[in-house]
Amino acid sequence: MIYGSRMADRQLQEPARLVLTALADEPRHGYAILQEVLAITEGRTRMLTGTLYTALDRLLQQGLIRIAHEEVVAGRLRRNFELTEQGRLTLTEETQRLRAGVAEAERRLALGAPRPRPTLRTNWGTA
Amino acid sequence: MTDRHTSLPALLRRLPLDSLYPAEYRAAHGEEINAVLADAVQHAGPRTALREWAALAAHAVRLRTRLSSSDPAGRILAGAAPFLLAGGAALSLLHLLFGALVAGPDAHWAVAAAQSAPWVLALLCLALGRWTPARALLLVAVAVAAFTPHPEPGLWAVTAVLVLIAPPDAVDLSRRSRSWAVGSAAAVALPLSGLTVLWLVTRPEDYAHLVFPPLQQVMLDFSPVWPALVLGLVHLLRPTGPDTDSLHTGGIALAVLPWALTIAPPLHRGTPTEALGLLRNVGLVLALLAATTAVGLARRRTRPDRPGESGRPLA
Repeated sequence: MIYGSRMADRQLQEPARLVLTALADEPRHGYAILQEVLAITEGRTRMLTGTLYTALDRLLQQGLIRIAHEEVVAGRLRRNFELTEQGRLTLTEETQRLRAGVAEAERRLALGAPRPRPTLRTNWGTA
Repeated sequence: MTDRHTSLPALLRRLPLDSLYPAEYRAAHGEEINAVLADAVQHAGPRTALREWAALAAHAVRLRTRLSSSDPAGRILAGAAPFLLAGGAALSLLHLLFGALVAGPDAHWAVAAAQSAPWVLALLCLALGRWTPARALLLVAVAVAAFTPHPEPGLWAVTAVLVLIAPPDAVDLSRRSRSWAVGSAAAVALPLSGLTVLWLVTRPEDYAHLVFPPLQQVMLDFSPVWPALVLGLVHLLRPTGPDTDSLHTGGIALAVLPWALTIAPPLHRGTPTEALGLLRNVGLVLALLAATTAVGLARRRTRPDRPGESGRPLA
């Protein structure tokens, strides 16, 4: 879809970026993605199930993820999602963008860092 | 006996969440979503369980109404939302100013402040990129407007509801988009605030023999269409590239439409009560949008592709 493919060119929203990150190393099912997001963010972000499925629906439509396989575990159907090539490329670009932002922030912080005051040097007492 | 912490999740599990989803989606993914929800709330407290349930209910309703971020209508609304908020906040600022200058700090002004402050604060949240608090403030604004007499209930209600139903995950909160939205609010509010102050300074006792200075009269005559004109110009001038989402751009046009309900600022003319007046206003706004769209398309056709323009806009 036109609007779907165009969306891939834009800045990712936080939930979408976290889902792509959670799927970057291996396919995962819904609850595993929630747990992985919690681990990635060191416990700071507990993604809600509704937020997860909103992001999954959209990423599937944009072609950034796909269903790797389905399995039945303890009588429950599980879809396992994985990144597509386009999803991997989008996450790579997003990572580069974030890295550039961090580098710029560090550069500016370094420029504005307080400099040590010059100390008064005397030759008193020296020969 | 169940304790307080387990009773709410158990109660929420009994609520008909499944039936909110469209039948096709429910058949395909209902079981899976239920399983994930069950795992997610297994050891959760009542607050988390309530948030989980509310988020899934919102997901289901968006799918059912085709207003999710995957649907064209949802994306149009998401494009409109920041500019709808900007317009509403600008008018609220005027409402607040008018109340302060005319009524003074009395009960009426307190009502005006209660009605307007959530909008202005919501705009501040948008400026900071905080969309969830902005939506919460609009919910407060709707609640306050429902229980207090309001000068323009139709415009405020339509605007707030459109912002609230827009899919939040598709709203563009990039710095550039926020700048355009806040800038458009300022462009609407500042000239009209000046006009309000001018009007109050020259407010006479006898309206029958009132003659405004020519410039002020022209400004008063044009003020009814000013908000629509500003947002129409934003629709025209906002930078677009080959990979700009046309549905988001269409959303900005949608943000102009509610102004047909009341093209007048609160101090000059009232809401058109007769159908003919409303029809005239809608026609005016549509003509404005047709003109801005035509000019925008013509500009895009005649403009040579600039290097880098097709790069990622990150907007």
